[in-house]
Amino acid sequence: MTLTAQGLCKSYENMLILDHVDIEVVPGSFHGIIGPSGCGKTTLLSLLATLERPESGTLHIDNIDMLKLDQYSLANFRNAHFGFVFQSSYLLLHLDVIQNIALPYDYGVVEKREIIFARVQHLLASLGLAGYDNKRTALLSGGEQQRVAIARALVRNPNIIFADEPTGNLDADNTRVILEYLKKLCHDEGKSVVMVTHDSDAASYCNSIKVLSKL
Amino acid sequence: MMNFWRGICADMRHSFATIRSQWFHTMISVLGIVVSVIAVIVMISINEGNKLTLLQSIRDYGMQTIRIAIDDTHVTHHRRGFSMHDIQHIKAILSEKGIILPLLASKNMPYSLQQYSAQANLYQCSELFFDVEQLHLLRGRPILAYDVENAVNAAIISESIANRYSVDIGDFISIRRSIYQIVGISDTNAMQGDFVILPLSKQTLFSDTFFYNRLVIRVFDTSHILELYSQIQLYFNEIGIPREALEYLVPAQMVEQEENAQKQLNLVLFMVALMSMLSGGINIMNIMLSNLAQQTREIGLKMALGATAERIRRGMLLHAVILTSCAALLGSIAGYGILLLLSLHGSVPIYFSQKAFLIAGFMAVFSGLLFGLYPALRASQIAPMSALKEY
Repeated sequence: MTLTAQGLCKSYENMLILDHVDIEVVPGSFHGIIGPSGCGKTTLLSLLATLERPESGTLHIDNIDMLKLDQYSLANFRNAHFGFVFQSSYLLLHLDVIQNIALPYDYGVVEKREIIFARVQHLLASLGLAGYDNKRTALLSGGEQQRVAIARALVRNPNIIFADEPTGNLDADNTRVILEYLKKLCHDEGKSVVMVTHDSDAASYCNSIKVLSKL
Repeated sequence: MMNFWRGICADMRHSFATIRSQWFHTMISVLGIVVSVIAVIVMISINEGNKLTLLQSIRDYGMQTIRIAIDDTHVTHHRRGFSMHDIQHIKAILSEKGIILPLLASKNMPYSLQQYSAQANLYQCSELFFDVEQLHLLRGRPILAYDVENAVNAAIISESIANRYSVDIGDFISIRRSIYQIVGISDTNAMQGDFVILPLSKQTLFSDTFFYNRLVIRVFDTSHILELYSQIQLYFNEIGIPREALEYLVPAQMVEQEENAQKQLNLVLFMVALMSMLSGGINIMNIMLSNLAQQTREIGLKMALGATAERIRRGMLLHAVILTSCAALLGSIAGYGILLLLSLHGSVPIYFSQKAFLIAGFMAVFSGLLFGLYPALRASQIAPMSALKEY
């Protein structure tokens, strides 16, 4: 699935944040977006992920004009094709690990419980969290919580994963584990990752980098 | 459709998980609704109990009767009660629509029974008494035409007298120095307290100089009661008996008045319940709005993962309805307990009405829907990225 954005513009309160930004994300690429604070990295990510609409420009995924889709179709598209990892894990503390990971299934097409369960188990094992199924998320470490968040992002087998500083709150070891896992996803499974970071070490894992500057 | 129900189930699961994880906070937030539900249930049940008790006591007088009594203070030398002429006239008014029973009633008449002396209400009447009053004989026989024609010294006593003094058919009772043989024992029905019924002699019944102080009229068809009642009133008015000299007891009219009064009371109760639910509902809305600030990140996340604005709105509304339903359940259980305690105490007439529980439950759930609407709309308008950026 190829994402192509051209001439994206976005401003907040009459302040231009993004001015005619172009980007192309091809399958299997690990794309980094870097730049100083306030340059619009997260804004660009949210435009690419259809969480916000640009004031001008185009956004296509394969041949679909994403800006022509209504909110309902966009929500369904996000659920089916996108995965999200944020700086904080944003886990729902009143749900256990397995419920958090399976959360995207609550908003998508109906899937059999057995299939969901098998998928969650597979992800937990691949992220080194086997046996964590019914653990309360509040009891997990920061690194474990972020790995659960990655499992949640991958559970619907998305084509593109949007990561907004996914290692920003983690120590060096956990950072390495997470970034290597994301890189492996691109290399082995042909998924695309679009990662916002201001960390040059994290950016070194990317095979394509978009540098934004403050306007 | 499958997705819709799956979504509802998922939202319910999330809602219950939230309630479980914040059960104390939830309890506090729904306390207003719980108290309102209890209040509505108890109010309606007591109101229903009072209404039924009152209506039953009115109906005990006989819904098909019109009772007229002349006030003792208005008895004069010229008008000592209802004359045979009055009775004949009322019979003409009634035509085939009813029958009239004239009575001579004396309150607190002294009597002697075996070695005991006491007082009872005394009714002297014709053999029509049991037909008109529809009293039930527990033992023995009623007053017969034979007793009236032959001036038989027969008496019927109330069950309360028979039980108190352990007397039965065949025993004798002395009233005004005359001895009467007890021939029947009657239940009390609307005639509260102790009473004795004696037959009037035929000579007395048809005497032009005899006056009765009570009239009991049984109307065969209840739809004629009010019409006959107004005609009888008109008659007494025409012959110059002042309105205040007569006491009318028309149960059918009393029931109608009581039912009208109940309608007004029900309206007042409904307004009280509504106010109570409104305050509980506002509390729920307030707490949901304050929770919304904490849930912004969660809502943003759900939207990023594919939840539509409609789905967020529905989830919030469902949460409000689940909260108020839980409150309705708790309130119903507590309300039932309070009603049980009150009914055991016995001083308050209680009617365990399903209606009370249904109304209270419906109002609670409705207030959840009503007051959950605004927080739900607010939640669905949250922009996902800005919600996630806030934290």
